[in-house]
Amino acid sequence: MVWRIFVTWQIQLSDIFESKCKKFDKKHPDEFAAMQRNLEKYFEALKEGLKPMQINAGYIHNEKKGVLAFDQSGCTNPKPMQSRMYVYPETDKGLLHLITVGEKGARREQQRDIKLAHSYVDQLKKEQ
Amino acid sequence: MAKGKRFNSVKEMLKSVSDSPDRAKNLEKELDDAFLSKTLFIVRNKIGLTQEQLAKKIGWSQSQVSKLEHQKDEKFTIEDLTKYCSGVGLSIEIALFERGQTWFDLLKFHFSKMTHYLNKISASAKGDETIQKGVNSVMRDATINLMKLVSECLTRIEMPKSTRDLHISGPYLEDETNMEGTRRTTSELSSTER
Repeated sequence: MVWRIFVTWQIQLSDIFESKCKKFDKKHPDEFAAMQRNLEKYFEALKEGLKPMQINAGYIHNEKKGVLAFDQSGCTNPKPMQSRMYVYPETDKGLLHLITVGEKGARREQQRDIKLAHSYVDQLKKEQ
Repeated sequence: MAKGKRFNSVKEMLKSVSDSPDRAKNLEKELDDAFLSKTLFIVRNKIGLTQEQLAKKIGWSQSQVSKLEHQKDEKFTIEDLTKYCSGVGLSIEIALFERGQTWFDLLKFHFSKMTHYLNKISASAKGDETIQKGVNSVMRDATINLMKLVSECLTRIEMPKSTRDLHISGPYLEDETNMEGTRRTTSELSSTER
């Protein structure tokens, strides 16, 4: 019996994620920090061997096609901006794709982000 | 949309997506300050409980469970922690350390703890063959895993590349420049040489 098995998971950024983060962090630093804390919990749970479907929390929203959105729960700002970070866990390859970040309050922006996340996943599936 | 960079941890990723090194450090600190809530979150998910189920079990509301899973370490109370842990089947052990403890001190502490528990396991097997078999198996696993752990650590340490000659002396009784036939057995030694 080996004491502990570490599953190797890695974070894979989309090509727009970095620039989106920089913009979002400037505008909503508290919300951005909260989403990073939530991401850290989710990612560490994956590394501990949990499957994406087994991870359950109020800040995780199912956006269909396997896309998940993490919100700003735990934000220190008393009146936080409703925010979302869109991710896709690709279990076979052990990759957690970070696709984009945006405001949820802005209805059009949310729709656009979800659409973008879906097309990212479609593209990934085509490449397989 | 094309793919960008790849990282092994969120902290590593934050260095890349933050506008400045200072901001990255702040965000990293935020992650460090949420160690307890992260651990509880993982434990709850590992045993397959939802926040609602756990809340029901310990007589809390779901929002109380959620709040604790987002709380900073410094804001935890022992009361809350004890309650939460009772719901996920954990007991609490509090360790007090002197400030300024080095990693080496911590390693020594954990090593002594490990020795303590291995001795306890050994003691529990006295006089019972079935338990003895189980203990032997645990000890074998422990030995293998510890050796593996140490050898993995050693491969990461850069050892100094310089070498030293190793001198081994033998009982040569005559001039060392005379390399042939100079060695004698003890029985050949004269009584005065002995």
